Amino acid sequence: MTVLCQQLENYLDGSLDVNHVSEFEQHLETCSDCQKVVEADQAVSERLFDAWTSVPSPKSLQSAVSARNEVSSRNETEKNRVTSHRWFVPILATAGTVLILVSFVFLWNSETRFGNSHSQSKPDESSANQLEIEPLVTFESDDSKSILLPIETESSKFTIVRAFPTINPKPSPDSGIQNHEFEKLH
Amino acid sequence: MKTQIEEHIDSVFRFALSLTKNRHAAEDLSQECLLRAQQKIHQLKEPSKTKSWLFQIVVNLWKDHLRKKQPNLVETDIATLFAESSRPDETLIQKEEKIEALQMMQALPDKQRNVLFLSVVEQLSNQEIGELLGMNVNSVKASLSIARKTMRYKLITSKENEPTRQ
Repeated sequence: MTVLCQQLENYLDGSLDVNHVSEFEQHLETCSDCQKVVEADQAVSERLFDAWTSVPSPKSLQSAVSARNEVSSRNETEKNRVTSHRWFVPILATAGTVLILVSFVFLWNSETRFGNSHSQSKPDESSANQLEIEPLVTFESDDSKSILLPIETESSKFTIVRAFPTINPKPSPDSGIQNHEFEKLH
Repeated sequence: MKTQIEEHIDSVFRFALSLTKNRHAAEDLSQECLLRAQQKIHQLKEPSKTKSWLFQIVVNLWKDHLRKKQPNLVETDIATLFAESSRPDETLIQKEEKIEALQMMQALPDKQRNVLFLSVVEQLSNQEIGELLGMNVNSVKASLSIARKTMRYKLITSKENEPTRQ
């Protein structure tokens, strides 16, 4: 046995330094002992490789993995489908927010306008006094009080007779004007 | 089309079988490994190392299993593994030779058997085997050397006995 024969195991397990491989292979051509071991080792390796690679994995294992892959790919597709529609969500949210803001502004404007018109339609006391119409004539009797108010419009002139009955009405033949009567004068 | 995990189903099952020496335990271990791999596929940084990554999952699961309870598994008869595979081009003698080689390997101590399997069948480097099984490279080389010697001796002996066996 030479010094190179001691490198046999390193050569077989592939851990021999690259620089020494060619040197050992030259030795191998002349050393029959090493040749036998290398051939036997190669035979072992080939036989084991061949035997192990002939062992099939159980069909149940393969089908289980395939089924699981199908389910996970289906879930992935479903997830992608849902995800692909997600662009719609921020647009909807933005549109909703804008709609709410526009509605708010519109309502606020309307409120302001109506509020002003309400305040305009409700005259204050001083302006009411200023607009108060002077009665033309006032009739007073025991049971009622009547006044004649002049009303002018673009087309005609009216005088409204307003009669205010007293609590205990007593018909009076001298009053001249009947209760609750509107009379067109012009 | 097979996924990168599906491509290694056979290897995973064989490695699990080498670890457990029991068909049903190997099947359960493989199932668990493949399920976990599918869930954690995003953690795989280098697709070229898928097989090593799957083997690492198998080893971790097996260690967890051993920690929880000492398995009292009955060794599966290797011959039953070939019951499902009936290759038409394979003679009975070839089939018997394969069964014999696997039976010899099954008889090796756990560490030697697993190192030999990963080196010869899965063609992993000593460095990769060491990382996978938590051994240093020298320890891997030593185990591999003993396992090879034993297998050489067994196969040579069996060949010498062949004429009398037949």
